[in-house]
Amino acid sequence: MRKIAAGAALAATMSVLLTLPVGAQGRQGRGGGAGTQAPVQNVSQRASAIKRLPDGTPDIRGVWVRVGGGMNEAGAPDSELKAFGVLSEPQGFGQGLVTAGPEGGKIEAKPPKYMPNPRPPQGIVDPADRKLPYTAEAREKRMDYAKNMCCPAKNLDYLELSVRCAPPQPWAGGGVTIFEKPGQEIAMLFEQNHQTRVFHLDGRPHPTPDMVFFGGHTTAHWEGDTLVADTTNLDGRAYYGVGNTFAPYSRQLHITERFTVVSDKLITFVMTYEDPKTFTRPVKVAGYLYPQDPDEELTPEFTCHEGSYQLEDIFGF
Amino acid sequence: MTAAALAMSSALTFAQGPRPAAPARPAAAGAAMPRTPEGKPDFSGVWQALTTAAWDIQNHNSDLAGYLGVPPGKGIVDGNEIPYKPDALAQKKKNYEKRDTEDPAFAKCYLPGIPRANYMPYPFEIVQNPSQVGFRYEFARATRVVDLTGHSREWLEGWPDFYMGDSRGKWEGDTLVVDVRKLSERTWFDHAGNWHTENLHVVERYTPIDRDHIQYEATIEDPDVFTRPWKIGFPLYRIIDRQPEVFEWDCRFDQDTRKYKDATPK
Repeated sequence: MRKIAAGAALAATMSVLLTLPVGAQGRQGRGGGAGTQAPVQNVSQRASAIKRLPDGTPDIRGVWVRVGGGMNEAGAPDSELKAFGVLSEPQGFGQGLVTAGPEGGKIEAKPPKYMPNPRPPQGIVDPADRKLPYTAEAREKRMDYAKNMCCPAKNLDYLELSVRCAPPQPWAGGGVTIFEKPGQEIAMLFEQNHQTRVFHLDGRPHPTPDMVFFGGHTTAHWEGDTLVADTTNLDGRAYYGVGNTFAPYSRQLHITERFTVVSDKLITFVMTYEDPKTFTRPVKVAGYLYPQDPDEELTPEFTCHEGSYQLEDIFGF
Repeated sequence: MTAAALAMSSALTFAQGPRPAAPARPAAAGAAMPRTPEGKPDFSGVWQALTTAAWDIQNHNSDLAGYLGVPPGKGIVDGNEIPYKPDALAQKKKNYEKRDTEDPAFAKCYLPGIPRANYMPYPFEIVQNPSQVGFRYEFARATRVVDLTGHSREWLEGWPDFYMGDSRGKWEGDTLVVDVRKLSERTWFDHAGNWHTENLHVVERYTPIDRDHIQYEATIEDPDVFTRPWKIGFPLYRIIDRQPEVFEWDCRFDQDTRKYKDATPK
């Protein structure tokens, strides 16, 4: 029975981790200090280091760690920050130094072997001041969330989606295994809440707009060494993102991503968020991926629903 | 296909009656499966088992339980017998009585575990690298990554068990052999309450039959529950639709929405 108890403890821990702003979480070997915004290494110098598949496209197969991509909005409503125990400006995914380990122990972070130095940009890069260009309608909705999300939330509609173990959506971070089938698809299997993303390379269209998913639906193509991805069919429900923003997206949200393979040790990306009901102009968010050290431990399972009693605790049944 | 695999297939064919697990074919039949650049069978694609084993892995009649009832069907157990120890069989019967509320998969939408994930009545996708084989199951968004690098299992010491287990694979000819341990005892084999402990050890074999079919076989061991190892087997069918997809389905989220949509926080 000891193992059962330990399993429940881990699941509960994972569940708690999910409710924290992701910037407050850490992973063994994936943490590090505060991010520095620095230019990416000279692409031409590193291009020769890109591995290739037989069709000449970059070979990015393997286990990576994804950093950034979240909405680290400046000036988020105070009540929202307070509700989630955030005391300072968010820095994005992967900033934690200590995380929970097996049997209730703690694991001290060590600098990841392949963490790029200097680090590429992460978080909101446009607008430069990281203040999001909300429409009046979206701002009103955002303040309504901030007022009613905690604690307790007004009702189920105001509960942050990660409390409910929804998949982390296209801005999922952390450990990810990338699979490639040239001309067909690239698949990403994330550790975090077993989220997956598929980038269809075979020219298929998006489904009709009435089909929606937390992760949306993604088509993509290579432009040289840059994977250009187009994501629609997003659910539109609010999500407490990888940075800190409770952006009230609509189902019109359209995300364009450009993943540039800089070397076999670095992929940088920029996500462009367009949603005319939410933002008055496109918002751009940056991040990067670096390889997980193959000598590191493999990733443990990250369950959420299986160990979560949060809804029972909130609603009392 | 090896002689041993053929013998296994024949045994399964006999056990399964009208659903032949794998017709007797020349050894080269599996050669029709596409190949990776490294020369291994390329299993990438969308697959599904066409059995009723998710309700009961043994031969079973129809049943009114559940919201649509249980479809009758042949089981997937070699010889149809599960060699339970007496106390363990009693526990199975208890599980059966409470299956509509306690089945971790159908009732709770939890990760279904291995081997059940492979015969849930929904599609799953296999993605494949030289060093990893990934599974994206539609049910409960379950995933697993089979490591083919021979990475040490030492790091698992001290971690709790995993719903989907820890999978390590290797190629034996054209057969992908996956050794699965570290499985949580909180999953069931089926809706009928067939169960195991955390000492469950599953060895899976994925053998190509032809371009669109894989023979799946698994050996089940759990000395706490069973008197001897036993086997299951069934074919996996490729979804041959043009551009098939495995969509995101978080069914527990949907269950929670139904349960709490009109509720007020306490």
